[in-house]
Amino acid sequence: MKLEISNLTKNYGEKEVLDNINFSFESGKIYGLLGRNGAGKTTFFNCLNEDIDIDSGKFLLDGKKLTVDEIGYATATPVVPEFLTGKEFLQFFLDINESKIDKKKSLDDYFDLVQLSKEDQDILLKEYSHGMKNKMQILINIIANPKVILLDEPLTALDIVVQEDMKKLLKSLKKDHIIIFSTHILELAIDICDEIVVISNKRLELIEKKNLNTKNYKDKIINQLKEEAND
Amino acid sequence: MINYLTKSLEFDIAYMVNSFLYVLRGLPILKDLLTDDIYKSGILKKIANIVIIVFFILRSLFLKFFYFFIIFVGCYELFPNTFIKTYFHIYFILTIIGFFINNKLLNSSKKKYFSINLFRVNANKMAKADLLWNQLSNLVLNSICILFFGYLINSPIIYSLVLILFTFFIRFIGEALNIIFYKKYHYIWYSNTKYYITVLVTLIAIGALPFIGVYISLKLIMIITVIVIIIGIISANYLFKANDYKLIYQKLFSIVNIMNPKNDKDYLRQAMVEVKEKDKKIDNKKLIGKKGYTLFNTIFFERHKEILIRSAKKYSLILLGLYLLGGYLVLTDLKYSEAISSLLHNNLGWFVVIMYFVNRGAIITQAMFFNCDHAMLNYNFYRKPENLLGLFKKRLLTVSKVNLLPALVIGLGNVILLILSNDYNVLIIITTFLFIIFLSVFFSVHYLVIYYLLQPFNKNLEVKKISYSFVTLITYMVSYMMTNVTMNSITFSLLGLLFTAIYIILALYLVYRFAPKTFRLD
Repeated sequence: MKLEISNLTKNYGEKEVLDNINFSFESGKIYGLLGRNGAGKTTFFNCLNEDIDIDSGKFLLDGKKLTVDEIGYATATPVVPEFLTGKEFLQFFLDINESKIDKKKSLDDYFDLVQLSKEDQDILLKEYSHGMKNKMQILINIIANPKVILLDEPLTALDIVVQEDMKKLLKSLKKDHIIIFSTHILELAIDICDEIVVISNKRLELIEKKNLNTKNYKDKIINQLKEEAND
Repeated sequence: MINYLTKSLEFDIAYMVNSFLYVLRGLPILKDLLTDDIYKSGILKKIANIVIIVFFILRSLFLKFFYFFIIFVGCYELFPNTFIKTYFHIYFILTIIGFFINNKLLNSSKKKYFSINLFRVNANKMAKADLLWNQLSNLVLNSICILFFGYLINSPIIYSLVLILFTFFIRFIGEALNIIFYKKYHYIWYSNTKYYITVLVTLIAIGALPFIGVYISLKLIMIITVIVIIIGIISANYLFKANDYKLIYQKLFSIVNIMNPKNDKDYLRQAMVEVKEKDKKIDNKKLIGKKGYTLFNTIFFERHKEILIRSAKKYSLILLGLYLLGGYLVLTDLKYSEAISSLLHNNLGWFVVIMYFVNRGAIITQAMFFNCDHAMLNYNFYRKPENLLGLFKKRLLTVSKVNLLPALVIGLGNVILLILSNDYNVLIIITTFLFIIFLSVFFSVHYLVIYYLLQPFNKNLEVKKISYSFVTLITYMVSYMMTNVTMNSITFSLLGLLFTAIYIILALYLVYRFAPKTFRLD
């Protein structure tokens, strides 16, 4: 599976954020999207998800126009309907996606995926901590089996045990999905991602690892990120 | 101190200028003309600065003037014979009430919090500068208004001077007493409801003395003013010499307090629509057999019972009580019977404004956004046109049902009053009843439709679209204007039915056509 982005340009008024981006993402890999503050990571995700209008460009998934149905997008600030309990939200989502969910597991099986305890399932999402809301949002965005999964800073608010579980979960999903994962934390990106893509100078750039050891690879990424400031 | 005062005013003006420019950028034509550079533009900012300063002065003057005007007109209307005595009496009592509750020094605000904790402003200088500015600006505004209204009633200038001095010095006493109380007991006295109500009720009772012909005489006011001036000078001296404001503010502004201030407008708006404790548990029987969006919609309304269903029931009960009273009056007093009959035959427009106030449409849409759509619109499946419009239909039905209960009370209440007044025919009964029901559906559709077409809120539930404010203002004005229409009720009802039917069809068409594009997060 291949996601091709061609000629993507996005401006906010007179401010150019993304400039004629051409890039391809493939399934079987987790892509780490790195960029400095304000570089346009979230804008890039919002463009793919049709949350904002683009100035030009197109997105093709295996040659066909990418539709929002094929995307699961977990935003940096988790947003969940606060008047529902965790269980009610999951049940609602399963109801309306019956046709898309291949192997129907029980609610408990799904909650086990993100380690939400029994007692937490029955309290209002409004009362969930930031980390719990995050888990819930990731869960909702992966169970309908979208082909492209966009994760904006997804693991930062989770405790280290859950982080490890989520890493395993994402690695298990990568075979049949294109996963793009944005983060500020270089170590996390190197640890979990198969490819590192840097967003700098309004473009996406793949940082080749080739024969570099981890330290040299990190230096190469940081140099690339610094370049933007120097340009 | 003067330096802080200048900086503080500059900060306030910069804040208002940027807010003003932000509003300008939201206006239809200006939106395209004004770019991001607007905040950098020196000339534009200077013009905006002048506009804001003029606006600020006029607004302050208007508000103060309006306050005096209300007292003035109120006293004149209620006590035309003893108007001047009442005017002095009421103003005197209201100023004392203000002295107790209108506290500036201990008023918590994010600006004060950030000034002290982030910008490291000297708390003593800040408190004293704020106090000085507040006192001087109020002195100017109060003097203008007191002299003006004094001139209108031909009051000797000495009386106006007494009121000016009384108002000026009593505020120092109020601020000082509040600070002393806070230092001793570590809370602001009026946050204790018992104290607050006791003092307020006592003062209001004294304020109401003119109703039994008792007034605080001008001589007494003058004697009290002399005492107030002396204590006021001592209080001012205490306030300007105190050097422990930082400690006071640090205790007052705990981070929790500042981030969730009970008097914060956003907080109040959000608190109004949040899920109430007793609605957290839902009777499972109501969910049996439901799934998907039907289940989603049912849970939403069950979790908002307090602000929607229970509140509609409360309104209905109040209306029922009023109709029972109306029925009693119609049966026992011919004068009332004729008046009510005339209202129902010729002034049905009054029911437009009543239905406007009874309808829960506005608050329902706020609850929908704050507790549901603000999050759900981030999910692609929720934004799909078929899901969006499917849920709109379900919501419209439920909202209409919620609003129907008070509408039925009004509709049936009118029918019963018409029958009791023995002045009716079948046509007027049917048309007026149907008109009220249609009106209820109209308001339900109206609020939901403008919500879906304009999506006016941001995540703090502030209205960010001027077009929404404009539409709600027009809705209120038109509803209010209906009270002036005198027309045969059958004709009025038939015209009303025609208008509401056309509006409902048109509005639903617009939602089905445009909502998938307009009902989004910006």
